[in-house]
Amino acid sequence: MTTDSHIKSLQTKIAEHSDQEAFKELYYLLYKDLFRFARIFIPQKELAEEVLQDVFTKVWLQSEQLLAVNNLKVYLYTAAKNSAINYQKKYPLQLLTKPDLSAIELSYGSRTPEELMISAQTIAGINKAIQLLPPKCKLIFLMVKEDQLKYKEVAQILNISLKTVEAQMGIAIKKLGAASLFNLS
Amino acid sequence: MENIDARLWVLAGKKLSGEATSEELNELEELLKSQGIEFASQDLLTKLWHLPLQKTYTPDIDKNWSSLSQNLFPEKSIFYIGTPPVIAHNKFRMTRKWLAAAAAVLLIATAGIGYYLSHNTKQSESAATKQHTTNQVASRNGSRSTLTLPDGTKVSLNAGSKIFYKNNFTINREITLTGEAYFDVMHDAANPFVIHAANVHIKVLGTAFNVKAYPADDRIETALVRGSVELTTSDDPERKILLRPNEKITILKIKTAEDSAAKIPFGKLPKKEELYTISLMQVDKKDNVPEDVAWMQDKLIFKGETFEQLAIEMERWYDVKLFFANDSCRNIKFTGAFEKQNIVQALQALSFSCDYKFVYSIDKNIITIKSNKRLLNH
Repeated sequence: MTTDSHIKSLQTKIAEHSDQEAFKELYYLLYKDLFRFARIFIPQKELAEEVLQDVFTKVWLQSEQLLAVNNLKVYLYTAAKNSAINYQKKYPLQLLTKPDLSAIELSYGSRTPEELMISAQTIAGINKAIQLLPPKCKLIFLMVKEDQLKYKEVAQILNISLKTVEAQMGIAIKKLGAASLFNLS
Repeated sequence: MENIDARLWVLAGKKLSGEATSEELNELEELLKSQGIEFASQDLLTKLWHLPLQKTYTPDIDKNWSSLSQNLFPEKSIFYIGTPPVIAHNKFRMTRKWLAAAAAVLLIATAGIGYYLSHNTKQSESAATKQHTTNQVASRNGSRSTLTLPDGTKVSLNAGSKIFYKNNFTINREITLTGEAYFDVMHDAANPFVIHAANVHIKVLGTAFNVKAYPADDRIETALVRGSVELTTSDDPERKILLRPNEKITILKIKTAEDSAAKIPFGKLPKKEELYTISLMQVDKKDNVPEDVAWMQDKLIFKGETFEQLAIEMERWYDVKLFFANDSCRNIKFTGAFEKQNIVQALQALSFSCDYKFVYSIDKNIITIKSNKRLLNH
């Protein structure tokens, strides 16, 4: 929640004062998450980097328009998604018909067992369960868990219904739960 | 059954992500109970939820930021970044301690010679202390101040500078300066105005000029705006040097043989004639202000200065301490000006202008300059 209000204050500084420091802070704050997100739509690292440079360039050049933006995080994710999709059109060789999550490693590290006091086998099972999530489900899970986006925000960014987000999250948690339950016994 | 199961997990997902309302939390409890499920993995799930997933590949954010900011802020090549003025509020910052000192001094001064220090500028952060019969007016690092001497002479003190003068100043117009000051001397043909700055002595009748004589600097500079001044040095008191308007004299300080050998190429001691140079003042094209007095307009101008030299100026200007972690950074040369930039903006501009040869870290007012390893590896 504090992050949200922090982003809001950066947004105001950028929009009203063209504050370069605030802009830089915003960049560093969201870059990693946005990059991982953009790669779902455009797996090539270099192109995903270009997409983000484009997104942030637009934010800066049209900074006064930020005043009208309700939720900057949603705005940036949506811009990253759209920009990535446009990039795909521009570079037909790399055209991808579906979001590709195979490029994204989504798992718990090897240090995790000690931290959770559960077996490495269990962790492996959970990781496998995450990997096996259907793409859309995996994407939503990632956005909610790692990017700390609200259900409503995910729905807005992906242009899907709130019900879909709820249902997909349910599926993700069920798979995770099943994996951990199964391995616990 | 399947519906209940799906609902259960939807609610579990909402609970974990903090989306669940209190009704939904109750509903989840009820469902778990009615299903007779000992939700053993609930704890584990919560733990897993809060544990970050393994780091995936992330590009070099610093590098990408650099190239982005280079594109977006091209004017950031040192000259006049259009940013909100930060120095403005730093400049007149007055700590309690200094206020107290200034007040005490005013009392002494009033008791002593009546008219003493004209506080015509509210911002004046000057403090004078009566030490025996000597008055001292100083401006701290990071601030500049203006005062009027008892004879009506106006003095602008640059950051970290001091002047001393005796109580009989109106009869004997002599002051001692450490640091940098601009003087607009009240005309009094019968009573010459003399400034002592280290080993340089400047005698004037009525004129405006700038003297730069910081102890940390290796030279003393006098730049004449109007009128005329006569200079002598302690090393050669017989030799009188006359300065005409718009001329500037730079006198190298010679302390010891080793010291001078280090500063003058080939290690040979210069002859007396070589100890000073007279040149015309350089005028900043943008606003027609001689560079030597640009500090009065809150500008720090530097031309072809090494980072080491500039660091000394920046320490005074911003009231910070700069340290070089690597010697290679000391010799990077810079040309430019700081106006409204704060220290962070100034450092960014410098770093940018030398293609990020250095990086910096700031801890309160201590700044460490390091060479950019990432760059060296390329």
